[in-house]
Amino acid sequence: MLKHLFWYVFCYCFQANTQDLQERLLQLVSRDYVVLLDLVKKNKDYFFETYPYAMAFAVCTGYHFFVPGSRSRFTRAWRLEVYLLVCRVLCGMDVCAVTVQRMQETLYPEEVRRPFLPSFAHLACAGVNSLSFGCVDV
Amino acid sequence: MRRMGLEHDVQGASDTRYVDYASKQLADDSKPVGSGSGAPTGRGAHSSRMGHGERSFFRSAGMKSVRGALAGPSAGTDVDGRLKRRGSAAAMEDLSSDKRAEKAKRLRVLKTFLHDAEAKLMGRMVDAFTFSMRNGVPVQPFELPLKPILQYAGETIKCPYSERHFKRYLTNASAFPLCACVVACVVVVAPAWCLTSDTLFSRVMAQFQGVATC
Repeated sequence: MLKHLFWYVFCYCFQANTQDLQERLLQLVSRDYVVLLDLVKKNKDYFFETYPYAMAFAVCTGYHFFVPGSRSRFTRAWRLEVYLLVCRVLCGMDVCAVTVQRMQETLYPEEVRRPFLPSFAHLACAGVNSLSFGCVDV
Repeated sequence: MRRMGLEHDVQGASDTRYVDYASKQLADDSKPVGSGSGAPTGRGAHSSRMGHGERSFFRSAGMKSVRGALAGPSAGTDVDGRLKRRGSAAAMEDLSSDKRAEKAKRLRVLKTFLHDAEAKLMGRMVDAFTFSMRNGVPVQPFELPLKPILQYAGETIKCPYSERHFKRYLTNASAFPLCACVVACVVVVAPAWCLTSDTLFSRVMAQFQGVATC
């Protein structure tokens, strides 16, 4: 699932005119998610609460370490956008930006403390409306 | 925190050695004085080489055991039980420290791998490649090492709940409906019944208005 989510974020953020590709990747993500949900037997609450953030962190880590030439574009605002996007895909609904930010701080404080990234307090104040998303059918 | 010589500080390994040494000395101290052990016993023999924590340890446990051994045989079993408890506690702490060390080692290995990959791929930019699909199969511009990334995400996550907390949460959640029913009866149903009941309602109104209506 991480592979498909990684390339879905790539198409969504860095590759124009890829609606068809995004839809196909979302189908692959949903197929993988159904398989994964069959494997989870207990602590489902914890799984549903944490898993989208873990995947978003993994996607951000992939971009951070494996595409380091464009690191100037991976700002905190961009990371928040990735978190929101992944949570939207995996939860099936829009999650408030402030909620996502709080969970991000709770689960991955290292992500928040990463250096040379500008502040995005204005995004947290403005909420999800400041981020423009395409139509995502889950 | 000082717990009878089992305190943990930055010198974890020396603490383990100290626990063994202290247990041995305590076992020697539990024997009656003059039994021929050969080891120096008593406060004076140790005070010149010991720090504050060690002194307090021998003052509180070792000297008591010497007195207990002189007093009678029943104190010996107490010392043995105390030694067993301390041994098990030290073993538990060693196990947890081992787990911590293993986790730190795993994280260090993962970070080294990621930073090495980062150093090799410094020129890679998102604009340099294009993602596509052929016959429904993604054609990746480059292979992403999924396992180290997922392991890193799993090791880095700060779990806010332990299993114990989780169980307690579930227990409280299962007890919640009964509590909610009781509270709802007291707060909502009872006042509503009072207000709808003619007699009680009239009495309450009479108290407020000062007029006996019934």
